[in-house]
Amino acid sequence: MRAITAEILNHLPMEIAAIIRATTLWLKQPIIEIRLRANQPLQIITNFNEYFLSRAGEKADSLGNSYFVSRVQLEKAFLILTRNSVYALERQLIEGFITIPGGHRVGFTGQVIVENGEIKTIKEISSLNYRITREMLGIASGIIEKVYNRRNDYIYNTLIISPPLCGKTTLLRDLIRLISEGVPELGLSGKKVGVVDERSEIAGTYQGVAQNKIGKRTDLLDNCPKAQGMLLLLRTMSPEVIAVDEIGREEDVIAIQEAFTGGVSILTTVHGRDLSSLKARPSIRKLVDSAVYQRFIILSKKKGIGTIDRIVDQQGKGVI
Amino acid sequence: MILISGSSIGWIIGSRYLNRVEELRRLQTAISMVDTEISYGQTMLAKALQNAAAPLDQSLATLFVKAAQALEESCGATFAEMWEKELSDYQHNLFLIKEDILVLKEWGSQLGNSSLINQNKINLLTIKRLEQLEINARKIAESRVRLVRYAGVLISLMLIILFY
Repeated sequence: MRAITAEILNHLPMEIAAIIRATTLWLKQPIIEIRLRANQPLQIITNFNEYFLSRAGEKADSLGNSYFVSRVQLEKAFLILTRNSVYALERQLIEGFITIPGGHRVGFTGQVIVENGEIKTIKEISSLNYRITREMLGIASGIIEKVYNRRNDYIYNTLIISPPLCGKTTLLRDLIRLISEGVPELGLSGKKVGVVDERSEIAGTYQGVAQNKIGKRTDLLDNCPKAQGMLLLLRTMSPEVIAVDEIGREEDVIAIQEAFTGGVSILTTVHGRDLSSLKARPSIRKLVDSAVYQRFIILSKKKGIGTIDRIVDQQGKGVI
Repeated sequence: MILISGSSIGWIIGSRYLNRVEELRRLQTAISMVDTEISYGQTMLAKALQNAAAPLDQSLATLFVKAAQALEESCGATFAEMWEKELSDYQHNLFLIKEDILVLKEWGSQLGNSSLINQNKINLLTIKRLEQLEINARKIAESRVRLVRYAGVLISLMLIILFY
């Protein structure tokens, strides 16, 4: 039986919250996503399974006894999510997600309004995806020594690679925390870490306050474009390490190279299956080939979310 | 004694008309403040309502503060639902009449659920409607306040003559 946090339940319409609450009676694994789609069955997703739910919060064995989410409920859920302040979240609406207390993120889709080729807003919300953040404190404890050069006291430039939903951000967050706090057993004293959290996913910031633990020497730029944020941190905060999530654009690569030449260690993540799959992406290939990164951590879901497949160095050799 | 009581009743009834005018005027100021908070500060609605409550007199301020608190502590309900509940629970403390409350209900049902531009339009429209209600309320007050107050005095004088 797994309790679902009040933060999530309070941001769902009452009827749906009651259904989700009832799943704790039979569900053994934690819920990682709750999906509401207009006029479609209510769905939950765990690490290994997905279920449609009945009105009583049980597994629905057919469409007939599934609980269907109405458009009105979806609109209500959206208003609750925004705390009835849709106008105050216009930037987040363009991004397609809202962060709620606890650092959980709710993604949404609907009718996109485009102006001058750019997304102006999303209206007529048609689906909501509550992605439940679970802070995994200590998940990086076993690998911190592989990204830390003890002799010269610096953090290797590290790239975490995995497909979506394999725990990249969770691992990055814990690495940030450990580096910022320091690990005395390894002789790693706390370092100044600058974090550019473009999608509020690392720190899970809600109304300006980080909801996740990211360390006491961490300076956070929330909701800021990665490339601009990295350069801003370099100019103003003298970081020893810069961490960003999900790189991919050309300007990200340029900013990373800038930070690298400035002598700052880089911790980043990228979508991909392995090193070879990254080489198919021209901008990332440039980074990989230019030997900026000294450590590559490859994740998968083989033994559950966050399975560390391999850690390799620049030459592709496994790191012991 | 009869004269004092009768005059007081006339005075109190007359004051209700004047108090309604005053409340309608203050509401326009409050909604204008909410609009400023939304338009310029993009302040979250609960905070905007709280800030707008500060310069209001006790009865209206309490309504705004209660609505803000309900929003802060909300679970699973929209502001429109909360506002309607607060309004119906609290309206007996106000001098507003049914048609004033209706305008406030409609305002609450649209508050916070659209873009900045739309919110501004909704607030301005509500202020216009309250302004019109205030003009009408003022006319009613002008014609009735003196009448009710004189009536209070005259009726008590009649009673005195009748009894003695």
